[in-house]
Amino acid sequence: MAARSPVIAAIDVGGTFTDACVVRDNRLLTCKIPSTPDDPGHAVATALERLGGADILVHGTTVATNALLEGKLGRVVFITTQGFRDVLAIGRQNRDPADLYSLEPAPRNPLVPRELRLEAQERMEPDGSVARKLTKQECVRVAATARALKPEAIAVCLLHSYANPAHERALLRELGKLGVPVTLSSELAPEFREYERSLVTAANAGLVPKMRDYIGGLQTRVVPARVVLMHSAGGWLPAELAAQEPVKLALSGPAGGIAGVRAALELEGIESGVAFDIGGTSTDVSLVGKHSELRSETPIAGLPLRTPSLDIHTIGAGGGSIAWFDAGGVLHVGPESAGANPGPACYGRGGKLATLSDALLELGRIPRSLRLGGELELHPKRATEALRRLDKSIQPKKIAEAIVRVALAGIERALRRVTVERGHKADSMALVPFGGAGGLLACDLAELLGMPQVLVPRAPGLLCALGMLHTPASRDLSRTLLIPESGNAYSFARSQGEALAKRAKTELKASGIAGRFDTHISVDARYVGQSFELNVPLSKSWKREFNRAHERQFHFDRGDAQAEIVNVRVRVEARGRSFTLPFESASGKAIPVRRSTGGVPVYSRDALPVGSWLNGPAIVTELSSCLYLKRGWVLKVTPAGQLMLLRAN
Amino acid sequence: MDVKTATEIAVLHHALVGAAEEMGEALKRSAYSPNIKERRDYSCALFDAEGRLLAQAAHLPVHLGSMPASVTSVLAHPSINMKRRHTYAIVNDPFNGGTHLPDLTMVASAFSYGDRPRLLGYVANRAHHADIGGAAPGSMSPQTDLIAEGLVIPPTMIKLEDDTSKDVWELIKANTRTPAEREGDLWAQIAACDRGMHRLDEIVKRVGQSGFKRLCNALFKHSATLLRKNLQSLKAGTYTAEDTLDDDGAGTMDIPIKLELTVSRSKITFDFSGSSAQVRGGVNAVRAVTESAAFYSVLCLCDPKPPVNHGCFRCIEVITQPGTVVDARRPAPVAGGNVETSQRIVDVCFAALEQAAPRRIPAQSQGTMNNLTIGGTAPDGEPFTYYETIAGGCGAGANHDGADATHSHMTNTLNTPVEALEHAYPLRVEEYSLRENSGGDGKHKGGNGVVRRVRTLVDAQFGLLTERRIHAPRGTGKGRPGRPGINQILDVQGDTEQLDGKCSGELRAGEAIDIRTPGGGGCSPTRR
Repeated sequence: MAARSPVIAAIDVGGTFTDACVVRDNRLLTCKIPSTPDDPGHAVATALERLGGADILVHGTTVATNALLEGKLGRVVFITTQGFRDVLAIGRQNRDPADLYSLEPAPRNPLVPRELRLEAQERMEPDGSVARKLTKQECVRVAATARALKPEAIAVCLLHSYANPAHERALLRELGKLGVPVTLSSELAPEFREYERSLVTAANAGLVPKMRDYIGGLQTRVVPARVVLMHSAGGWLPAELAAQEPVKLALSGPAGGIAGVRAALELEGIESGVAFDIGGTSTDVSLVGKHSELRSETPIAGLPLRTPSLDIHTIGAGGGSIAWFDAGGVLHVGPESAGANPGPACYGRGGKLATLSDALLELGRIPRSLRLGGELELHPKRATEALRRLDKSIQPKKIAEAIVRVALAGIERALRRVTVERGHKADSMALVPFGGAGGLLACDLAELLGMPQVLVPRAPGLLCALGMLHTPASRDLSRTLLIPESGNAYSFARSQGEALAKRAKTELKASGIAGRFDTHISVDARYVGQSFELNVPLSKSWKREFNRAHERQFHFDRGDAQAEIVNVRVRVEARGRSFTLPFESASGKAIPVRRSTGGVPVYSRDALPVGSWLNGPAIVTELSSCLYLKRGWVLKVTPAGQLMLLRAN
Repeated sequence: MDVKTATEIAVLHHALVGAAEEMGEALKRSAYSPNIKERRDYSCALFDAEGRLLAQAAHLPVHLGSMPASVTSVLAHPSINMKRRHTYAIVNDPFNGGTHLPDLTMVASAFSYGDRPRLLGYVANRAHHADIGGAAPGSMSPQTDLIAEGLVIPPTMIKLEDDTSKDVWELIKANTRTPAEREGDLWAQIAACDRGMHRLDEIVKRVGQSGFKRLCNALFKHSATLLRKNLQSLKAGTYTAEDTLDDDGAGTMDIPIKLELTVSRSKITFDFSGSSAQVRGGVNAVRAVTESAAFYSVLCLCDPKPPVNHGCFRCIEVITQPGTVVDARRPAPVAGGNVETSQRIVDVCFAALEQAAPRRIPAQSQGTMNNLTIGGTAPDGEPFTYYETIAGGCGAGANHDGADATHSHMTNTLNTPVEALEHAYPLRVEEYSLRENSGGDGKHKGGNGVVRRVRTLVDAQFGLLTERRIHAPRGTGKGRPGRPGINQILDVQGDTEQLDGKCSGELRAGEAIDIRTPGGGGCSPTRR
């Protein structure tokens, strides 16, 4: 082992396909096989075997995400301070904004039913001093009550435990004897705001039984490869830590895609871009590069989970979104989706309703002979019939154009949300489409947003897996301090941050991560009286940095006003090897393999040599992905083998 | 409609709603106070050059009809010329474009950018400020005249580059207990307007000025069409309904609100003429609030929902008599009209609509926002004002239980986290739980209310503006009513003293306010 660097494989499990890749002997091997939803590990093991095994397996999984979405969590007993057992049921007391004009607002999901929520007699003050001591007898009583409820896992979230974890730890001493996993809020997410902390603690506890089994089972299957897991904040965690804190895997798969987009941008020297992935039922967008930020909350299934994640914004529009006319004659696309089954009409699986995919096929943006994922045959006639069913008096092509235009308006809104709405100009950014269908709409969206360029990474259909190869091990920890700006605020925050960093390194090392680590300590700060924090790097001049950040974002600052440090955040990252994926350029000239029905030339991506240029309109296909180069755009193949699309003029 | 127009309307609607949401994001991110950032007590909207509502990001239904009223008042004001660039106007006068005093509305003219600037329309936003002066901290305690409720700002022009505007700014700051926070929030409101202007310019540029006008008219027509189709699913006829407010906190009990509702195939008319004359205490609603409640009740019945714009309002007529509790005149105090009476007006609207849409309307929800204010001086000498509204039970429907502990109908503000509250104020929350068995029984149960008990560590003043303490939220069919709310003080010895629904007073250090919010009504459908 010591003589060579370890072989790393990355495997991303999606709803339909399991994507895998490995770099061995300076060659990139990839494979794409159907997922096995009833036993996701089966496809993972199969894919790894096809690639010839590896020393380390970086894994992106939707097991945690799906358990949250489907509400399939373990039986959790939740323990909190006396007077607060219903915090999970009350939430933030509002109804989902989508239900603002609903006669039947959806009930809140408390994750843990009332009979499994217990109270302990104890109370901390906001400054961490003890107002009412938690006695040994009380700990014993609570543990006995919990045991009688036969939990699969236990979550503990006491009021103000971020300020002093002593009582939660005292409970753990008794609860630890029950032989079920226990999640303490002061360990998992020691940040203030009791509902959000309770929720993430309960969600984590509910995921532990399932994820421990899944990760453990997978590890056994792929021996001797060591399993590590992509986490939502864009790094990977050793299996042991991931099994203890599975809530951090909620955006495991998409995080790989973002890492891939970041790597693609860096190869071209572009500072900032927008990642953009159209799936069957939804579209993910995210700002990547210079201006990107982690967000401290991950919304899943309407639950605001307090755990750091990449800032991915998801909307309910995708290739399967169904087009329909409302009673007033106006066209809509979505939110209803044909999903994967029956899927769009053109899948030929019995779907009768026209979708965005059918429209794209009708317009010739998808070549009729394309096979999805190399396998699924398309049925153009079915698409035309579905479009005709929508309105017999209109040419199918006209309806198709209209559907694309309306879908673009919805996606444009999502793209604006992550760029201009956050105060960032789009006119120097690149749009980076990935996934199967992103490239079909990329030119239009770049035009609508005023973006000058579109960058298509290599193997966009496998980008999530490829991105994982570029990702280092990392651990994000945080703690609420809530201390006012004063003489020793800096040194206190520094010492707390270093303590967290030490813990993170110890944990990573204990899981066998060797080498050197980079440590970033930052603070969430605000002016006293505000309730919204800005994250700035921790330094002696943090207050000045904070003033500047406030001015930049909000166009005013209050340099003279008292500020406070709310949270300290730490990211410890293993120093990774940076490498470029090996590839071989095609030789000769770019020659279309055929013309589509509309007369648009169709190229095979593998046959486009480095340095070649194409003028729009053109279609470029490759395994599992398709690109539509609009009229008015030119494409060039960069030395790194990526496709750069620029507006001609 | 041809396919081109059908597409253009959809695209324009996306763009306009996106622009309103973008304004809201700018406001939320740059605002200073917890009330705006944490509780999201604000709304943003865009209007065309004739002052007609194009789109609204309505976070709170109570702002639905009242934002257009602000724009109308500002445009009609003789000393304000909104037809000039960079003109902003601010207003909170309840009798001239406002609703209640803490809601400050900013309206700005939007011009095209470039060589020959032309008026495109107007942008507006409204935010609930935590204090706008008056007799009590928070400007939300029961008073018997408007002046005691706070600073009244008639439509007032602000030109940012102008010194007289600075004077207006200083005047507002001098009349509030928390001037720095007010200034921060007002800048945020200006930032939100600026964002809206830019977006409107981009949107108009894409379709051209004449194309924009044509599409706006098509957009209004489309909303009106969808709304009318929805009206056709109602039983045509004339229906009456009545409900009562508990009291006004100043001696008047059982204040009736009456409605005669007329539904036809193309129009729905809400006539509130029989309602009580305006009262001495602060539960008077201005007409814009009544309109919001009526619009809200109709929108709830629509499926699919029409895009909310001027076109919807064309088919909804609201008739009120000036000088009544649903159309108050100066100098009536109005703090509770927006938050409490609005909920009762919704109850009355639904009681009438129930007859036109049998079995579709759920039982009554808590019917109050439970406004609580505690103010005083913290041990470090700094004054503090804590204001919030508390959720309760929702009504059960023919096919569902009512939601527990959820804000209903005209509001949707978030709570203040206990850990945030205790850090910021010398207050301790001792209990925050579901109020068991407060929801009405029935085949489907009403949602439970909430218990919230707050102890003060220092001597303080409190104010309560709450409803449904006497008259319980009704059930439907044979469903039982929800339990009415309870307000009480717990003294240091643990003895309790019952409080009225609307009151203010002193709390000594160590005493607690204990609020139990109403449950929703239950539902047991009867055969028809």
